[in-house]
Amino acid sequence: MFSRKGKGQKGVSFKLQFNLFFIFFAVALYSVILITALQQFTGITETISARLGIPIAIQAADLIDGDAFERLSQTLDIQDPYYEQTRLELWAKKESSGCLYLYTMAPVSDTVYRYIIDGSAPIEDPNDFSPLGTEEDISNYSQYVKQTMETQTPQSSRIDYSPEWGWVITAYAPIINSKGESVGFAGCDFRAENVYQQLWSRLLRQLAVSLVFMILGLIGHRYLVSRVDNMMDSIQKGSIEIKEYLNILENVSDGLFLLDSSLRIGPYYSTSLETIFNRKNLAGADINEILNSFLDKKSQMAAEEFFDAAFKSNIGWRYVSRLNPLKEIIAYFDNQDGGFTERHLQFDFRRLGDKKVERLFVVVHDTTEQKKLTEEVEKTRNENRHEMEMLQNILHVDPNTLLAFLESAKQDSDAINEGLRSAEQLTSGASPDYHILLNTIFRHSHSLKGDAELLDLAFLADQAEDLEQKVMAIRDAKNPTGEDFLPLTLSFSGLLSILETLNTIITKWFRLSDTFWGAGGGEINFLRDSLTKMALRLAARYGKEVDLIIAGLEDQNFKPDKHKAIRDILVQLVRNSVYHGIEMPEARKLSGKNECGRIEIQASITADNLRIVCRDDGGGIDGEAIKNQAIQGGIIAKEAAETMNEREKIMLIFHPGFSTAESSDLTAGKGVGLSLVKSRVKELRGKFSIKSRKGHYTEFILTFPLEGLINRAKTINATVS
Amino acid sequence: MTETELKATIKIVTEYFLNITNIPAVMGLPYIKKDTDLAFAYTGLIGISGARRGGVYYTAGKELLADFAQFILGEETLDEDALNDLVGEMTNTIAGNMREVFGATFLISVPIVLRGQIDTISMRLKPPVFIIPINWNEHTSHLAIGLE
Repeated sequence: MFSRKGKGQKGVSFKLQFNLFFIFFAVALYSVILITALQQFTGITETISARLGIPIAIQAADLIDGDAFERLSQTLDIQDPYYEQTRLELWAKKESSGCLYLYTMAPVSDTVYRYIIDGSAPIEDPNDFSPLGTEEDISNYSQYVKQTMETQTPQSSRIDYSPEWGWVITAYAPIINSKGESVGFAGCDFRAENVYQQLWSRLLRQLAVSLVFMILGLIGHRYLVSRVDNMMDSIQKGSIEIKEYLNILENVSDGLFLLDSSLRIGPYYSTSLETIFNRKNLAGADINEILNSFLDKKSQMAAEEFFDAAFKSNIGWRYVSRLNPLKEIIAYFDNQDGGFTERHLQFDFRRLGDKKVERLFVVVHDTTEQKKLTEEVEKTRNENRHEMEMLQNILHVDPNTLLAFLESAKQDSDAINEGLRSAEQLTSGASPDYHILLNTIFRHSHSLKGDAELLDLAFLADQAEDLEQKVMAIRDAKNPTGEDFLPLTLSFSGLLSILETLNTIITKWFRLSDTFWGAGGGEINFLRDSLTKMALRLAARYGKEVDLIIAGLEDQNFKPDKHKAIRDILVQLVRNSVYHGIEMPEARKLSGKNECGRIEIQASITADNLRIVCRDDGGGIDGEAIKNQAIQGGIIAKEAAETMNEREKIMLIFHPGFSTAESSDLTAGKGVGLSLVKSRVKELRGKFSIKSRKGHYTEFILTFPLEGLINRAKTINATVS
Repeated sequence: MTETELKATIKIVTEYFLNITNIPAVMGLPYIKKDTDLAFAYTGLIGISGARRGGVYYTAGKELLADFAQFILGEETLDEDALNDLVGEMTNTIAGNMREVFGATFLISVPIVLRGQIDTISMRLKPPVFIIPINWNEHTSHLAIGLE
């Protein structure tokens, strides 16, 4: 109902306020009408009366001879024939014009005038109250007289009422002598009774009509109040609805808004929308402009096409809604600091309007938190799965060995990266020589690959192999450029990524080593076992049979920083023997050998040296074949090769890039393995020699100074035992 | 990061130098950025999101910028602010060209100029970060690309 006060609220009710205001307004209005009417009434009466009186006063003044009048006013001689003659003319004028009195006066002082000729009555009339020379104080109306005399223009007074003469107005006209001076005035008292009465009755009618209307207004007030009451109820209800609507918009977490056909956001939208769109004041904003700020071009174009179709009522909504490209999107908001904030948003659209699509109702649901959580869970799950798969592949390796491998792999990878980094100086030259750099990368990659194969880490060996292939591609290119190195660096980054994952796994799982890997048997024992397994794997890969016998290694207590070099040497020698030395079983059988090849590694301590002998009972080294291959590969000039003795020919196998393999693969063919052996032997300040008999055997004899290589205590104990 | 994407990004930078100065810029051998690697004194960073996430930065020394300024501004003597503005302008153009090439699927940020904020750079770029030496007019600068 029409009570706008809430519970407990104090003060005057709105209804009472409205009533009081209405009554006050009505009374004030009527008062204004009344005052205005009275003012108009007086003004109109004065105007009409003046218009009637002034011509009579002018005509009276025209009857007067100014000079004669001046004389008469000075002599006051009643016997002057001009006096009587003029008085009669004035009287006749008064009678014919219908004015109340018609007379003339001349000044005595500013406020005292004297009657000169009074034409108001015949001479015998007892009403002739103003004989010649009668003085009168004119203070009450001196302003009109003064103005008439000074301006020499006719004037009229305000309307005045007296019980004796009723409503009277006086008109004044100046009497001017031959010198042009005002010597007096002719006054005409005009009875305004008739005019006044006519206007008064008209005013009364107007007031009566106003009063009637006011009464009708008061009667209508009740009806009006009732209407206002209903209206206020309606407004109140509407206000509550709007308030509730705004309340919802303020608190809903989704972005809600209406989109008009010009693709602009309506004036009311949910507060969350500003957070979702990362901007304020969205009312009237162009939706395409907003979307363009966080979508890629492809999505922007799809959205524009969708909006175009959405407002075409002749295209079915079922079809259009299926095209919604914003159903599930990722919005990228530029943080202006070189980064982006990502939001996962879902847009839902509904058409509004009967026949024509007037607006789209849009709901934007921000699913960022859920998506991030899901992604995080999925990422962790994938990482764990990946780690578990990798873990399965490394479980067979002693964790200490793995750590040592990772350490050496890190050194290799650092050396490769450092090689690339230091090439900046090379690239500034006109035609840089990348030969040494490529050999360095190859050697480190090969070392890493050898270790990976030793540990049966095929996934890592494959990646190292890929890197080597990239190196070879550059080596084969004419005048390689920086761009030619991109595949190599990409492959290298893949290798780093695997090493990083391995490192993560080992760090994570290392604490479980006792449980999973047991106490471990020492690195050398592990190396022995790994070499054996590697030899078997490689032999199986090429359809060969091999028996690897290792003796004496377990007694050696290599210093930790020397493990890597020893391991590299043994791995490369075993690989070399399996691939190049040991023949295929059929060939061995034909030459009267056991189908299963034999590789022996024998380590022993002499006075100051460690001696390692690696011997295989394979096909031996064909010096002539090596020489020819070296000539063919451009490693040595033909002329120089012709003067080589058998030993020199065989030593060519240690030259970087030399290989007798017909094609390169994971194990051989790149001419790196024995080159690596040579560089490792050099690192350990060792020496090597080769013995070989074609068709029977090959023997590598390596000698290293014990100083710095072996922990002495263990060696002595071993020797004693 | 694919080889094609790397090549396209490098081409944007080398062509920028060539177009402005008519002197070719040549890329050196790419390598992987280590945590200890430092940028040059002036660096502009561009964030990338969308189909790939990460960033690209271009970093150069005073000598290169002063030399380059002659071509673009006609003056060599530049104060600290002007050098920062210049590297910002260079990065802005590179970012604009990247939008042309990758805009269909990548979001390229408004570039920012960094003053020794190596941590910020590391934070924005996703490892592995490829460092591409860019050699121009006997000066070396680096383009670093680190995208998932």
